[in-house]
Amino acid sequence: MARKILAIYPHPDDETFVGAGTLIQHTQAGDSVTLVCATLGQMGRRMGKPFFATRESLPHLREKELRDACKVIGIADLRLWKMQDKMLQFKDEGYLAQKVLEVFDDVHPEVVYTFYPGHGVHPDHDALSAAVVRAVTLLPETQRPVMRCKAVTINSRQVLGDPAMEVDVSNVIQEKISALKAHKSQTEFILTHLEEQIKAEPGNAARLLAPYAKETYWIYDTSGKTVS
Amino acid sequence: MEAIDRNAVQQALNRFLQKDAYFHMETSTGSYRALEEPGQIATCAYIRNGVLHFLEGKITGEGPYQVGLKLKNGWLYSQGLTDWELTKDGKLLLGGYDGEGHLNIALQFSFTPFECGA
Repeated sequence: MARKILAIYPHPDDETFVGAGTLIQHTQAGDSVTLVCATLGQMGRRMGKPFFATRESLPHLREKELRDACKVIGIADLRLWKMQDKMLQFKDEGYLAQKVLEVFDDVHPEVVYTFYPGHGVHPDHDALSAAVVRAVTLLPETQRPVMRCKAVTINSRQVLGDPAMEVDVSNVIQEKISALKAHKSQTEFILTHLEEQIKAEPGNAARLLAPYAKETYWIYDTSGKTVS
Repeated sequence: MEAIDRNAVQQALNRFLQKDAYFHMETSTGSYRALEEPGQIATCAYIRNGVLHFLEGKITGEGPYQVGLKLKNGWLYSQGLTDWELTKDGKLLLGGYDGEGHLNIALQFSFTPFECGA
């Protein structure tokens, strides 16, 4: 049965780096995926290699890149909040949670993908995942979506244990690479290097692609939690 | 953007001399600096749509370049600028790009506000 999935991330490309393969598997299975992207990554430092973006052209380029990536992934419902990059942490927490709740009310997701609270490294990641937790805990326990969260801190495994899910996305690896390619300004330097390596040692292609063929999530448990 | 032509940038800077102008200034190590190298920390600063009024302004160096501005009560300094652009709508963009295509520093001026997220 088709499921309702929500992915909610601060920057164009987070959805792809964290879990394009997982999202592609959802859309291929007929699930409906909504993606919320809270900022336009206006303040990103990567401008392409060789660089082709300026501080002023970057948000426009990244919006286009995100729309292209959504086409590859199969996301028809993209919601851009167009907030300012790096500033989510300074916005009113109740306001951010309310924005998330509005999406919940509209989409009624069974599963929400976001960064693991406190383990996002980037302050925008942590601010948005905190807002998601707050929004989830505002719902009655029986209506709460499952939170599948990506931890990117160096010590995440020591602190959180092994991830609850290791999703094998090797069956959609080419589509995932296409989604990464769509985010050209942010990924070209990685992909060019990867393709050169594969070309040089074709026998090692599977090993070189292995880091991209697995996506990991921890479950953030909100049972028993209430908003303080 | 193209490689800085010092004379052309000086002329462009002069357009903003002794006038109130919006400015954008930033520098960043990238948000993942601490993940890239243990012991390092991510640092970043930016100000967008601040208003600046400079009394004198000069670009120096042989590339990368420095820009210094004399303010009524102090100075503005920036170092590591490599590329520039004067946009169709009159914005002066100065950026310092490294070999990886990272924008490490930017200094920009405009008489109309820069686009900004909510």
